[in-house]
Amino acid sequence: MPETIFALCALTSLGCALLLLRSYRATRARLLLWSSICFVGLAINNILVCVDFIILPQVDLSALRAAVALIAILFINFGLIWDSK
Amino acid sequence: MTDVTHMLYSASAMGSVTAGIFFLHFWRRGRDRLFLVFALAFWALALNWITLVAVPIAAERHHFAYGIRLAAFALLLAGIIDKNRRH
Amino acid sequence: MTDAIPADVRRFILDHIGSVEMLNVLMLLFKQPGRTWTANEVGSELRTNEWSADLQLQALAARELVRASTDTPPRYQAETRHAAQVASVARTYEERRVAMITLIYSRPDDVAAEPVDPVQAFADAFKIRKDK
Repeated sequence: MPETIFALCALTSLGCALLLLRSYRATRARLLLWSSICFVGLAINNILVCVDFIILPQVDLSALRAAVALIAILFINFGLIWDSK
Repeated sequence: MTDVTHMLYSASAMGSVTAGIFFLHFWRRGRDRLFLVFALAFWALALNWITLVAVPIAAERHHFAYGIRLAAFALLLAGIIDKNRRH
Repeated sequence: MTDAIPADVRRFILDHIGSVEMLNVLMLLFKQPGRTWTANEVGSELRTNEWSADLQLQALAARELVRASTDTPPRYQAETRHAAQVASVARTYEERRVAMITLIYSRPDDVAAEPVDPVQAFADAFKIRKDK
């Protein structure tokens, strides 16, 4: 059950990333590119939680998960600060 | 949870709060209420990570910890749906 | 390298063309000047998504390079008084593709081709169907 939630979160995040990427291709607004990368990162973060708990329970992936999350957050902050005109 | 992981989650939480503030700012500038939704979603993510740091032991197994994460993404979904129904 | 591009074509690109997608849409409409297109048809023809095609068509219509009908969904047609100019652009694009692409993306941001507000673009990105 919790794994389903993380999978759903990952899908939502990917959806956001795709919408932003599609719009970036048309408008070339950089903010959309950085945001898109952020949402990809968040999706990966959620997928890693599933991997951590189901596929590789013997390995602790929490540091990797946290690092991915931080990188994602750094991207969106960079975009919001630098490229929001 | 190691100190490094602790630090990474804390930094993510802070960054998420900041991103939320930007979104709130955009919303207040008279733009889309989608930005309000994003602000709340990113703050919910921040809360999610703070919870992981503050609540000891395999916190992600606890219902309320991933309830917050679910709320964050559910908010995003709701916001997007709302946006598309408005326009 | 961009010296290889004729001055009038260069001016046209700098004044009007924001992206290669936009140019492709323009050239498509001018290839069959009598024909009207919907965003959907343009999207299929150019193998891009309808949403993006619609954005480009609207941008071209705003510059009066194509004409939009008042139907729903709007049908777009080439504005024939530009035919010679567009033909020239198309020819140059065939011959000097790399130089043209470089030119398109080297445009300084203050050149008037719909300066996009990134924040607005962010919000608009989440409109799933563009014809709203």
